[in-house]
Amino acid sequence: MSAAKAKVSASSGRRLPYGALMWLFATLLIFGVGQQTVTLHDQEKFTGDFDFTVKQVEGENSLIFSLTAGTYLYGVTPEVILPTPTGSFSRGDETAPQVARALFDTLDSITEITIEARTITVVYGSDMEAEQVRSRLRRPVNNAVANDRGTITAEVSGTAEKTILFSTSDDRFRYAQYQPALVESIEDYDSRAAAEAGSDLARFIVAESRPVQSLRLEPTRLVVGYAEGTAIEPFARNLREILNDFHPRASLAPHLWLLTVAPEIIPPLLAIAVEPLETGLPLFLFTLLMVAVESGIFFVAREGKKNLLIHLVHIASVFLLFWSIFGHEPLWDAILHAIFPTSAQLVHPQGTVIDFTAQHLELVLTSSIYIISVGLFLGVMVTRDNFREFLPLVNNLVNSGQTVPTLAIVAIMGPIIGLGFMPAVVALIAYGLLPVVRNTIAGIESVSVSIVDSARGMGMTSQQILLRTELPIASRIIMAGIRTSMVINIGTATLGAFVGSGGLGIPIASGLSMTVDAFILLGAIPAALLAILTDYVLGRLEVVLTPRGLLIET
Amino acid sequence: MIALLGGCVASFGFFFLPVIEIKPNRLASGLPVGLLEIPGDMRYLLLFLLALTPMLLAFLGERNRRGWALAAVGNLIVILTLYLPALAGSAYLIGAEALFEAGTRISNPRILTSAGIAAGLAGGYIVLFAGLLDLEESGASRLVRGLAGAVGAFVVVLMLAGGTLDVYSIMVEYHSRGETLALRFLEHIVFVLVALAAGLIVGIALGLWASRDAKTEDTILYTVGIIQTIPSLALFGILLVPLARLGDARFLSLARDWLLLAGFALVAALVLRRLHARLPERTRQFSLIAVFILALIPLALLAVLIIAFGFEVALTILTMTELALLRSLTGLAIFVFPIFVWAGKRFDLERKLPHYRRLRFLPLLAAALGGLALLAQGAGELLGGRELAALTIRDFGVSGIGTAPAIIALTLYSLLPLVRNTYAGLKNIDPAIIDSGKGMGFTAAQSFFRIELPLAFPVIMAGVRNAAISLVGIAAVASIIGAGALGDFILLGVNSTSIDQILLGTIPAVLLAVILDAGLKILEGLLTSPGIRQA
Amino acid sequence: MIEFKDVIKEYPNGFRAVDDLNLTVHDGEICVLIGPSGCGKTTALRMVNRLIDVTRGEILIDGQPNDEFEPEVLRRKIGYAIQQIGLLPHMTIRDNVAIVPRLLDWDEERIRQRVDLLLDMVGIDPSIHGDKYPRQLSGGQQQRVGVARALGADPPIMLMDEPFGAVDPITRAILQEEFLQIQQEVGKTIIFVTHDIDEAIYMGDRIALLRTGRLVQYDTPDDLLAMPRDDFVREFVGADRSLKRLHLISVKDSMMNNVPCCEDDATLEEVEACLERHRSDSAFVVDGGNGKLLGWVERTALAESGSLAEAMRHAPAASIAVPEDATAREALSVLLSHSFDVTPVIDAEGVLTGGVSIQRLQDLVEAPGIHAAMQRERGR
Repeated sequence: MSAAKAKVSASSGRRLPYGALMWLFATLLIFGVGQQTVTLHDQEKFTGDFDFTVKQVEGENSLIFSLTAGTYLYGVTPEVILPTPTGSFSRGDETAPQVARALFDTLDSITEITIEARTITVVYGSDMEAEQVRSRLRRPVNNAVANDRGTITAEVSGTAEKTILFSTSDDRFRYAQYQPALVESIEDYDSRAAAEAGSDLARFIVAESRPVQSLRLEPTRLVVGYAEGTAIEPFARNLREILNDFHPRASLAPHLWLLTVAPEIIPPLLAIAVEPLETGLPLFLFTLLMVAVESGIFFVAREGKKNLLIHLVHIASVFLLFWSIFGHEPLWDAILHAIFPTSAQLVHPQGTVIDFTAQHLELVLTSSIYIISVGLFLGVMVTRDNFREFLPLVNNLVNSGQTVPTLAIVAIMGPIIGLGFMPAVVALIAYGLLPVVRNTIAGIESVSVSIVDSARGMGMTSQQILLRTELPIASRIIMAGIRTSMVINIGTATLGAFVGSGGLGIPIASGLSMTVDAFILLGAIPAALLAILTDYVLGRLEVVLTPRGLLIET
Repeated sequence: MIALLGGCVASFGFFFLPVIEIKPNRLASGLPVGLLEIPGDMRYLLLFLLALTPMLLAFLGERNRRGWALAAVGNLIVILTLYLPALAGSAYLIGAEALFEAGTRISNPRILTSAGIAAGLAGGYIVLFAGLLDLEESGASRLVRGLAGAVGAFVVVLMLAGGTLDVYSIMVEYHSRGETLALRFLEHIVFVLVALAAGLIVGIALGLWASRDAKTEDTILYTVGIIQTIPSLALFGILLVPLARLGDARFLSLARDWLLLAGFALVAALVLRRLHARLPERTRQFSLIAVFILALIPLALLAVLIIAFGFEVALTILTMTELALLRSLTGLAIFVFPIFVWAGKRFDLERKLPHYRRLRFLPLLAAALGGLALLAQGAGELLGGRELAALTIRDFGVSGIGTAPAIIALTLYSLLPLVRNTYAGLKNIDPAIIDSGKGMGFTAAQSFFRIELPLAFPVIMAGVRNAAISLVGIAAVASIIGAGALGDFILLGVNSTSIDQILLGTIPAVLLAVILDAGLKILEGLLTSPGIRQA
Repeated sequence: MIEFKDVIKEYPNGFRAVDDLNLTVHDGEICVLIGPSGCGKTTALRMVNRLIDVTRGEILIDGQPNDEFEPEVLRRKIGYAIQQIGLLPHMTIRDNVAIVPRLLDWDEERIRQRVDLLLDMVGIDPSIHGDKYPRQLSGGQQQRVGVARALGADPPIMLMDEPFGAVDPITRAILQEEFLQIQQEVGKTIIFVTHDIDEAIYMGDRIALLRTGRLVQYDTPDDLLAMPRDDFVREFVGADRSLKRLHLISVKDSMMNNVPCCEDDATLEEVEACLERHRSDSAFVVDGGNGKLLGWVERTALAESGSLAEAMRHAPAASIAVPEDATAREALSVLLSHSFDVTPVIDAEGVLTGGVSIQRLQDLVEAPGIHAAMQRERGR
């Protein structure tokens, strides 16, 4: 007895604030990694959507490239999102908005542009082929708006008309005005040698272009001095290409991302909208804060006395750490480039990891609301005396439901309901109900008859027995069911991509169909992490929500 | 009450939902027809009335009579729900042109089963279930109940075989794609069985380890738990990279590297074993982990290779026509074994024939020999005539996409139920039993095989059943990464929004799960001592 | 013969479960290890068949150190019965009893005979229960099977760790008695662990009292009760140790033949004289013909009555007398519940053969250990 006691006190004496140490380690790691700036390698997503006006400087062998679109700085978002300026504009129209002007500038043969809320109609001259015009205009249109490019489609109308219709599936085009950015501060190189020792962009330019003699990089302008006797036209074209070949660079330091969850009422179903929110706060500051919080917890709550709040802090902080890492796209680009050095495509063109993850969570959370409420209701119902008759039937259905492959349940929703978000949610509900119902029944049945009997003997009504006796005692098993259900749902939701629900299955599915291995990992790794994270979070919640007396092992 | 519910479900289906849909061709949308809309004589009304009868029967007082009546009605509903719309469908098809607008392209018009039939079947099932429940309570024997429950299914099978239901488009699809379906079904079975076999070996070993070693028990259980939470599609994806790289390796160079690695691990293990006692207490754990990781790499490599190759070989064996005879003989031998065991118990042969205890393993021995011969043939077919130096690991079936990641992921998924149940089964044995065995002079091996394994057997088998059912489901997902199996049909169905194809993939999978579960249950019953069987 | 020689069991954390134990168990003897929980008695027992290894010292079995055998070989030669019984639930009763013979590769016919014999011996009908499974038997029946199984291969030595611990007191008493009868037949060398001092006294030829791994006293039950070595022993055997000793003494050994008695046809004067002779206030009345006890008569009643028949009080012999094979403790109990100076003793026919007085009992309890020999004899 005394020996055992001594052991306990000895071990508590040696106890370390492991939580704080872990966070400290995370801080150091994130800070260390964040010191690096890497080139983004995805050739589709991160090639510069750059456009320049070129001007020859009078009397000097130099050209001025003024950046009109695109940014070399990663993560710079459109500064202004304008309301839709509608109307028809023809070439040279002074009132034409910037989008229209940009499009006119791109192709000489465009004669008229009509801008509506959800469409942009371009009329062009007969000198060009429709396909050519469409492919030339795609990038400027994409650059001009802040909509996802996946939502924009271009349609060539009948050949006689010579028009192309760009339309978006969003509610409207959001015209964005970028602040074009080349560099952050002015860099001046008066010789090739100086440029070779200069910044990445400068080095890149001199390495790629022989005639360049001097360089001056300004935030939106590039002034290039060229060697005597260079043909200007080819040189300018060449330099444009070079500048478009240069990939933007980004720091590997993630920012803290938050998560906003809002229920939105979409009749007749209640859905959840998950929006990732970037704070702009460096993540390592957050982890540093967590070091302090963990140390505080360690010293305040010594003897393992942890209350609800502390558990919730743990859960939230770990979740935010992973969430933030999901949100930092350069990190994914760097990781995938390390694994697939030769792949031209790395991060998915249709969205960022955090977008897919948010969609994924949206699916899972929305379905979980139904699963939990319906599952608990069903489970409680069939264990009431009035409806106990149905217990064998429900047990039978729950067990045999297990034998239907998840893929089949998801797949069958397509032909029945159609494609999109809802069929996936319905499939998730159908499959996710099983563990919740089963565990609710098992949990309530596990409450011993004598406990219920004594509760009744003390004069509790059947409602009180349910709420004060049966559910609290069953809570642990019920929570385990909910946990299983949600973790399974995260897996099933990846299959939702095949019925067009979005989520992390999208990169996996498109990676498989386009044979881009990087996309597969881009979906698989976050999906696996998300599942493990969810399991962890719910595991913690399970402990928090279980009455303390039930946690004591006998 | 349950019968009432069943009647409601069926009536609702017949009343409000279309039972069949007539499509002018494979792609166009169809014309839904409700049960009550079918013209002609009143026999379709019969079904509707039948669906209403459980509501009356529910008020019948006497248990036994009510049970029989409900079971009969339930079976009838199931049979007629499939049969009557099929009749109506055939009638519709004769004058199909008249049904559609002029100009509709009509080629191979077909009858789609629709939601009404699903509701009818569900309702019939529920009514039948209610009837069987009543019969159980009124004390009917298990056999009687089983027979009563199987009548409907049996008639349906007869109708399927007799071609009565061929009018449905799903049967049309089945007849045109039957051979592919059989192959995919076979692939599915092999997936599940190979993964289960590999999982069984690894899982029982890990479960045994966890139950014996308090230090590693948490780690092992936690790790297999983590694996389970990873979405199947994601796990397939994650396995892609290492397996693709592994597949590119040449066999000879890998074998050399493997031997080096294994040798190194062995040496390290031996050295650390020597040093173990001398190391300070705190570092012992780390040295253990180090050896563990060192040993894990070659072991995992070997396991991957064996599992992937095993799958290929198994599939080859099962599809090669030259091996049909050997295959069926081996199968027969395996089948005979449980009969021998059963006969031994039933007729008390163990006491009457002196060597029966040993004799009954004869068929197993024969099966093992047959299996070996088959293995040799299959492996020869896959690798035969290749230059050893030119052999890559890909030739053994290891590649990033396809069967290798699928079978390995399946094996990993089977681990949790197997490890957990083995662990629980072994841990829950009363230590006094093991102690008394030891005290009587059982060696460690005798104690494991004669005491612990038999006692933990039902629990382990529950894990095997669990694993088998979930593997059938996950194997369907494996089709997404090009591994074949029944998921192919489901994916095809999704792409062509054809519910028939999806069902054609789903129904065999469900049947497989049910049959595997039942088969394993029977095996469990046969091999479990009556002394520990649950009452 | 089992000898513990300077046996020490020390655990890696320095805890000594058994500390310098020296003990000799002679052939055919039941040696009971007893002590408070955690005293190391079970450890000592389990070291004999090497379920636990000895740290220092040695255990000799018939003069041979037990670590010269393979543990499994050693264990198969030593019967082993434990409190939890540990029957293998997946084997039938027969198979359970046959375990060790099968391990020793006996032929099936011999095993069958042996199993039937043993089951009969412990009072289990092999034809009824033989093919049942352990869970179909009651706790007492399982204990019997446990004993039969320990006897399976007829081992010369048996280790029993509270083998009757898991059953109710009544069944336990029956099992103890039956086991002593079996032991009379088989004469094994037995080490028997218990924490129940009454069981130890009843079962043991010798009792070894352990405390924190050390042997405190090793003596016959009688000597242990008569001469506790120190306060610990005294406290352990209990304040009622005198009563316990009475338990060890049979009436036959402690009775005096000379009791006040008269035949039923005696005159009042003769009765008076008898009372005077014994300086007693009451006398027993026996049948003049066959000597059976009929009742008693009290001095006060004599004066008021005309004849003995009028004065005597009839009573069934069983309610006032004890049989010859009862223990002295029972005699005391009867003595306390009646107002006699002497408890009459009758034989199987009901004939008064003697009596036990309180004085006599006091003498017995105070005499140190003289009844050890008698007790042992009774045990055989």
